[in-house]
Amino acid sequence: MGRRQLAFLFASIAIGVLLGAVVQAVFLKKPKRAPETAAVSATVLATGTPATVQMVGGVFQLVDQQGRQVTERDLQGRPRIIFFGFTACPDVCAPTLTAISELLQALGPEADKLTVLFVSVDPERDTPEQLRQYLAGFDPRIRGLTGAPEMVAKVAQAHGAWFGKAPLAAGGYTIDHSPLVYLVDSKGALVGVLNHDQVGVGALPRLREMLRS
Amino acid sequence: MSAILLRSLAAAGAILICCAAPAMGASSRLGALRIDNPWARPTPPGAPTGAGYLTVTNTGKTADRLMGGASPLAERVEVHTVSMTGNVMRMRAMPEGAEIGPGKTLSLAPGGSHLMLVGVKQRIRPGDRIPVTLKFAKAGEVKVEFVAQMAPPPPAHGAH
Repeated sequence: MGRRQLAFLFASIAIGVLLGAVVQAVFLKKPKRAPETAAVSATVLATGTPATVQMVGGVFQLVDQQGRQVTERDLQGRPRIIFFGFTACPDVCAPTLTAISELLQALGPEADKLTVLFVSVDPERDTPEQLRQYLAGFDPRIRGLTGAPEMVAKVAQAHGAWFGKAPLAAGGYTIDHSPLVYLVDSKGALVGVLNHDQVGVGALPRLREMLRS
Repeated sequence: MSAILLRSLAAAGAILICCAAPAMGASSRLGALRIDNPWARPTPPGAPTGAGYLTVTNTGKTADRLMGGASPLAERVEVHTVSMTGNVMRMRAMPEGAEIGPGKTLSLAPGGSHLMLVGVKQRIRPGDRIPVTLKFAKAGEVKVEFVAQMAPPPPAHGAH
């Protein structure tokens, strides 16, 4: 093989490798497959908007603080915000519900288009009556939901929210949970997740956007 | 006496009242420990638990531990730590107490650690003062009052 041929061969290999790299970068850069729902929420939390469209909700049957039955059919066609918490929550739930109440006040009449749900992750202790008493401290448009533990678990899972019991030092228990507020549009798609400390009036533009879409 | 003088006196009085009353949290001492700004979140109606926050500064040479406390307004007062792992907020009781090393400050603040008032006997409303006897492993006990307010008080003198 002469020097010219050798040089040609090397040049061909180099061009081939380069082309391969370009093809891989341009065509094979597929978005990652949608992982578990909890992981999706983690992505959402990091970026503020979901990477993939995730439909949330599913079929469920719970009761509100007035004892009325609520199913997925009651939520159809309306945008909603959902927060999973419990009334014996000492640190984050009450301030988050206060922030949600302020947000509703700031939205004004537009807030009436929104369904606002506080789903109890402590259904054993949070009876409709307990929810009714507790929610009297917040905006009356917040609807509290409770019911069978499996049903609550199903709804939480459908949103990528996690919860579980944790024992207290001198007996009793508290609940570990995802302190997140889920924004769901009128078609049932998860359009955003706010951490409990992001639920201020700073979230107004995103809520307005969701209400207009 | 001129009206201007009266008005400036009134203004000075108002400033004094503003600065003296809610702006500065209370401070108390127990041996080498200084406890600053005890405050608690008002609770929604029917809420069975509440949370109290404060800072403890150890000006001594040996470590101590905040073990918990007692209050006539709650069944129990426990030290809890809160942490976020991924998407989940976890709360754990600290039966072994929270350490305050020599020269260190322990800060119980929202989203971190708190004194959990378990079994609150009445609704905590803004402005309420909740008497709590804090228990330390070495220094013993001291009575403080948690002031109920929506947001943390600004840091006390010497903290900045």
